Amino acid sequence: MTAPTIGDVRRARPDALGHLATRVGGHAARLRAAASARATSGPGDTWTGPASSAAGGRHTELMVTARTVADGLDRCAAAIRAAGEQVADAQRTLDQAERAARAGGTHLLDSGALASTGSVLPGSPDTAVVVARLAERARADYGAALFTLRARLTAASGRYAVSPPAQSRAPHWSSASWSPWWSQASPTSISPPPDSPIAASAWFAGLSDIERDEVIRSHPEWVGPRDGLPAWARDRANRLVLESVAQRLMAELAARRDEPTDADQPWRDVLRPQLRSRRVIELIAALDGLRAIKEVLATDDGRRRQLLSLDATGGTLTAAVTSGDLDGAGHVAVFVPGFQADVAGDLASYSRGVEAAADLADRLSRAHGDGRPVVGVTWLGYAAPTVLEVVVPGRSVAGWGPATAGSPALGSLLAGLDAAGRAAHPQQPPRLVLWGHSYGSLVTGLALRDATVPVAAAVVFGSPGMGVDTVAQLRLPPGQLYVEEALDDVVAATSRFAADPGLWREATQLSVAQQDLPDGSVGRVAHGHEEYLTAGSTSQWNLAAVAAGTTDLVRRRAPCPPWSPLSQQPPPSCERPMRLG
Amino acid sequence: MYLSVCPESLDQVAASLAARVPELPSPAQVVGDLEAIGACLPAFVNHAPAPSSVAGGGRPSGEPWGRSLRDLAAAWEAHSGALGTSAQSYREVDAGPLR
Repeated sequence: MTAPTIGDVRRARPDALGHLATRVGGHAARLRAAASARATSGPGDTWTGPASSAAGGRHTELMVTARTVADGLDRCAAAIRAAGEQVADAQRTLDQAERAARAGGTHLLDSGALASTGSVLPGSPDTAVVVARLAERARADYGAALFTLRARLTAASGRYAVSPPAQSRAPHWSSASWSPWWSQASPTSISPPPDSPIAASAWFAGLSDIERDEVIRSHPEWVGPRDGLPAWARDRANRLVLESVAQRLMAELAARRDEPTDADQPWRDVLRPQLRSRRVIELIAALDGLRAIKEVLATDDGRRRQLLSLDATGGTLTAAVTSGDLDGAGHVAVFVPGFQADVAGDLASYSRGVEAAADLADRLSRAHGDGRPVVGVTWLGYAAPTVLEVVVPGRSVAGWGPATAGSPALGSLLAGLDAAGRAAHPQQPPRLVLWGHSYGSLVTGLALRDATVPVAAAVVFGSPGMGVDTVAQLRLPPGQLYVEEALDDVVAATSRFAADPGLWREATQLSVAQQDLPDGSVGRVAHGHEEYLTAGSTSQWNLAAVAAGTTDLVRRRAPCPPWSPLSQQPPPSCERPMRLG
Repeated sequence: MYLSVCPESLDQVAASLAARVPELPSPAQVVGDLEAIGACLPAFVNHAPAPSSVAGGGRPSGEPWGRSLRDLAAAWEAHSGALGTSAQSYREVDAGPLR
């Protein structure tokens, strides 16, 4: 088993796939015509009685079998045609890479390596990075097309390549009792979705509408947490899970209410009267969190929020809520919060901030961008470090533990958004943007470093570091890391986790000061560590502009000229964030 | 004729079904078309991971569809033949001692 190469992408023949799709669709049409009622009417009304009924039943079985197989072949044809379009897209991306390589005096080998043509001077390292990124994108898209096609063909053959049921042993139509086999069909025959977001997306695409409805109702625990499935389906499933989880946790809390405090509880000796066992504390927090989710979802303001994820299986309740219809989004901004963020205490306020910023981004997209809708995701999908865990090894906000543990979940979310977005909008999948705040910027950095899908841009604000030493390690398009830092933000001043993003020249440093904004308003200044999402602030404007892809509208941080307090000149008008250490 | 059944009508249905069998898609053509995907998509055969029912042992196969179509054609012919047999049985009854 090998991954596809650049040479494979080159040699693929999407036009031939189109012809194959037409042929397979033709087989389906021929089968359907042969089984049409006009072509094969049954024995008719001149023959009645049990034998006639049995013969009619058999006739119906064969016709239904034929139509089922025809439906399956149609699905194969659609999958092949879609794969052809995806492969053509991948080849267009590869064509861009090859043009960039030629312009830089190089050419792209089948292996993906760059070689000098010798005719002109070799290209710059920047050109090589661009070529490599485009080539990798083409290769990844091609691989995704292969994977999706195989998954869709698998689903179709497993469900539609059926044979007629065995015929009655009776030589003639002596038995009146026949039972159509399709009446025995049950959703229990559907297997759970695979873990991979791409495969899960293909799994869902292979289900009929009736099967989708049934699997959501029968197995919401399969659908709700599965990255790669459409948000509408996950939302429906998670709302069902929410009710059942609340009942289960309340029952467990009732059974454990009087448990003693754990011996290793942090601050046990200091806070003994306030503390219960760790599990009881988790249960109370989880139930408070479930209540907060229900309140956010029930907000009666006409907004179509979706409960994208909900997980109460670990010690910490995690959840993600959208600001609108994620399946229709052209731009998706995922907010990653930091220290002390939890569902019970923060979902409502963070959701309000994300919704306001996403709404502003949506207006910018319509007025100045590509016009596609912008939707925000308030992602409380990892166990953020808490104040009670400051001294707990592996859980302290001063360490990497919570971010290392949480970033894979963010990576999976991104892969799922990409897979579901490509399924819904194959011609123009949604553009993914990350907003990382505080410790959440470390989670953001690690997720970007390990991302398997392209992320268009990221904004980090109040960042103590992203866990990498260079912007290039984040694998974003050039210039698409944006940094906001309030002048008096002590957290951002620490650069605790690797390099300080506020000092990166390759990043776009944004203003959080009072600024005249392009819409004629005046953006307010953001102070401290918690005002970046404040409505009407320059910071919020910048977050929205990046999310909408209208990055020409951002307000940049003015560079500070050299200045000394001894110069007796007034300090220059610029933003100079503080630095500690 | 004492029976309400007209054997000729059963013969007609049987003949109609039999005439349709050659119009069913050829299993070999369907399998061939599905297996030709690999020739258009390099690495399709070996690309990991290989779903089992389409790609036994990592090789894409249209065989489930071929088997399905062969079974369908065989059942279709058998059904046509059974209708013809029934028509003949009714004729024998009609021509028997009761007359």
